[in-house]
Amino acid sequence: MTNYSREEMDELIAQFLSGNATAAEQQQLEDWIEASAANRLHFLELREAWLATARSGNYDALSAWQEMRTQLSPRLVWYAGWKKAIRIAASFILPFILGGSAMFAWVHKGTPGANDGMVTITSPKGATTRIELSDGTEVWLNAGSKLQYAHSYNGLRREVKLEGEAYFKVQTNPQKPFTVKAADLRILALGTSFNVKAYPEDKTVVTTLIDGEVKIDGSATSKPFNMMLRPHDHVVYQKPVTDNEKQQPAAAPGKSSAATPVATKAVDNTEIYTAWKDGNWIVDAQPLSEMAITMERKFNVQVIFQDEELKAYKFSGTFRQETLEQVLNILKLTAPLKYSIDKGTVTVSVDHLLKEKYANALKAGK
Amino acid sequence: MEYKTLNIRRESSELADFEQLFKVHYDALCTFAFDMVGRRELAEEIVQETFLKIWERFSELKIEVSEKAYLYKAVQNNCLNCLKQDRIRQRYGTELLQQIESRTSLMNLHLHTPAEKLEHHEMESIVETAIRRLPPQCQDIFRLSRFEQLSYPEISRQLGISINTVKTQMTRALKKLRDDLLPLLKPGK
Repeated sequence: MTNYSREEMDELIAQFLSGNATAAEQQQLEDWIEASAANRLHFLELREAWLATARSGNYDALSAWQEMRTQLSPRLVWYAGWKKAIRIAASFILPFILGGSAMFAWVHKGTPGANDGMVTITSPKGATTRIELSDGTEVWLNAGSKLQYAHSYNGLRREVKLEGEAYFKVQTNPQKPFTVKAADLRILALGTSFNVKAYPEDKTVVTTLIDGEVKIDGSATSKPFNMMLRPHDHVVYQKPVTDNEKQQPAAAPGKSSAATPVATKAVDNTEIYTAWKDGNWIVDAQPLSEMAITMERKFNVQVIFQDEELKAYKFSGTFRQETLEQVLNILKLTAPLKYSIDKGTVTVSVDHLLKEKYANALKAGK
Repeated sequence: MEYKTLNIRRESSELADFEQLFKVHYDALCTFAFDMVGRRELAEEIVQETFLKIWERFSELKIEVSEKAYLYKAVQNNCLNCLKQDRIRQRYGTELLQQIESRTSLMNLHLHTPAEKLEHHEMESIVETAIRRLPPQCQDIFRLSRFEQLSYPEISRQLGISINTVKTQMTRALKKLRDDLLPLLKPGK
């Protein structure tokens, strides 16, 4: 080790500083630095010179900010003082709650008895929440969604229960598959990223696999099934119709009882289904009736249609950080609608003047 | 873990201040973090996480030293902490992680807040002058390595020279810069 010439050491230092040293070379350097105070001083001087020459690394502050912003949720107020109960018991095996927006999530211990030992995290309407579980698994919880898991999470099992929509980035652990319970499905994952949409009021549970491997266990459903997913698979499971809905004549007659409740397709662009986690919203030929449901969750409002015909208008496009008003104004550019917003209620109706204008423009174009 | 309960009403002006702070310093802090850990994506992650922590107590934050000094110190601390996180540990293999860790501690060894020096507004032009004084080939190689972050093999291919030449010239550049800059880096001495 002492055989290195000064020149060789200097070469090694330059290699190290510029990121060109191998692990072994770095180890040599470390040993050399530790060998004497003079060596250390020599290294520190060269390092100072290197650090002094730092200049812009062309990091994109703008897009980094946009990404961060979604984790800050500016329009909301920190609920605190509100309940000292927010203090998390130290005994939690514990979800690290990261990011500003996570503070909006209401975390509370389940009342003993019914929900013994359960942690519930709720993402209120109008905000998304990012959570990191004790095993490093990351969960993005969409607006108006709820995630539950036992205090003992990652002890023997890794199991969570979802009502609503979440994007999971699961840490690999072949010994303990990660399980999401959504409606009457169990979705099992090894290391993987996938999105599950399972709002209680929806008629379906939708699973989209981004990468890795996921298994859907439908053995507890009325028509048991099991399936393996491959990346880009998009699986829609029709929940059994409840008695309430059966009485309504509008519900698809007879169809759901005969056909298999699961439909799979491969999608090219999974981003449509996961963009929400970054604060974006992609629609692809989506009728306004469906968009209204998303708007209600995303902006914590109620949407009322004054004219039924508007529900059928379809839209495609990407919204980034737009406010509710901006979204509606964009929709107005291509559909004859007008809106009013009053205390959390959005009323949309046909704008007859605009409709006429669009009709004329269409005719003129032909 | 426990987090403080806060009773804060977020004013939009506060967000604007925070945004300003972020946008002004982001690039320089990432560049600094990159020197510490040697990985671009990790550097950005560290800086963003630092800002998220700052945001959590932004309104009660009283910065006693300069803003810049505070941010550099925070990023510096976070570089070391970040590598302890399981999430990061699992991303890199043991060997790579060890190398990153040892790099980070070597870069942090006796490193005082770099901001005192960075407060010199003229520093950048002094550095640029010193680089210009390097012989032409030596200068090109140094710039490609330092500012374009090219590896030795990449530089050798780009300039059509041997890796050995790159090695020698980089060493030469570094030593010359030390001779030129070191007296200026120790103000008052």
